[in-house]
Amino acid sequence: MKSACNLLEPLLHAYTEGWLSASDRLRVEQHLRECSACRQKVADWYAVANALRELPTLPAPMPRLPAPEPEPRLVPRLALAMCPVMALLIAWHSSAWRPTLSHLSTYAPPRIITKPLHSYAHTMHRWIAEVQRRWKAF
Amino acid sequence: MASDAQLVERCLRGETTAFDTLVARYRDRVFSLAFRILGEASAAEDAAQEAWLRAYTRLPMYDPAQPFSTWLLCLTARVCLNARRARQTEQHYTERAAKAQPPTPTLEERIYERERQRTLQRLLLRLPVLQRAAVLLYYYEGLSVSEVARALDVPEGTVKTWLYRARESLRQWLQEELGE
Ligand SMILES: [Zn+2]
Repeated sequence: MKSACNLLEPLLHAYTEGWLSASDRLRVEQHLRECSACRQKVADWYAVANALRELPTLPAPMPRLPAPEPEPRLVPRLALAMCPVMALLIAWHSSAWRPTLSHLSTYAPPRIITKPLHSYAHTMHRWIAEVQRRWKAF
Repeated sequence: MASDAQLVERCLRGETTAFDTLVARYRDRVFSLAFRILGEASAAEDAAQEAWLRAYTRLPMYDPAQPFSTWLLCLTARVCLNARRARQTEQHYTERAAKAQPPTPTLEERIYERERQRTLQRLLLRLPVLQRAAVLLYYYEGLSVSEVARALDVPEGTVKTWLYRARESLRQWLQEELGE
């Protein structure tokens, strides 16, 4: 039976994974009824697969993620945001061109006041830089 | 509890803490897979780190039709394979890996169980690295043949052959080791 068993081995493997067509499955089952060696092999393969499935999950060390950049403090942020207003005020006092109040009404507060700088795009940029740095270091 | 898909969406909308939740959810699994493929805690730590960076930067490319865990673990396997390729001498690396022990096994693991698992981990490292990655993604992580094939960029038939060879090799080695 040795050569028949050898020929059948890949089918036997596919059988244990449920990959066979109905006709091949019948063929394998027929052989398994007659051959204790192959029955043993199938049982061993199941045992190997189960042992692999039961490998424990290992506790990971804390990932060393790059530390987030500190956000600019509130005062510089406000100063930055007030720049357009200051420009308009300076223009008001010094130049021949006098902005009217209607000029100010078109001025929307910049998003850096309303939204934290720690945005996705910002973080993304930092991470890409980190990846590039690592690849260069290779 | 938010689903993985919800967390990814929140992350893409700029909520970076959502990514931290994903890391907390999967870091042990990512590390474990990396450790099983690379066989060494420090190499696994580096690979896991790299995998998280890559997951973060490629998050906009993630297709929600696929489970996030599958995408992440496939990406981890690829990072590990690349890391291995980058090593100078495979021989030296395999020797070191075969000697390395898994980090901090939990106390409640029974002795017998632990011995068996260590034996299996050691024998896994004898497999060619692609066979090992296929076996781990398929049996350990429960991915489908087609998912493994896509992750390793080979035809499904190749994955099936690798799984067959790997399982047969492990069966023989385990029998020798455990002296049945
Ligand atoms: Zn037989």
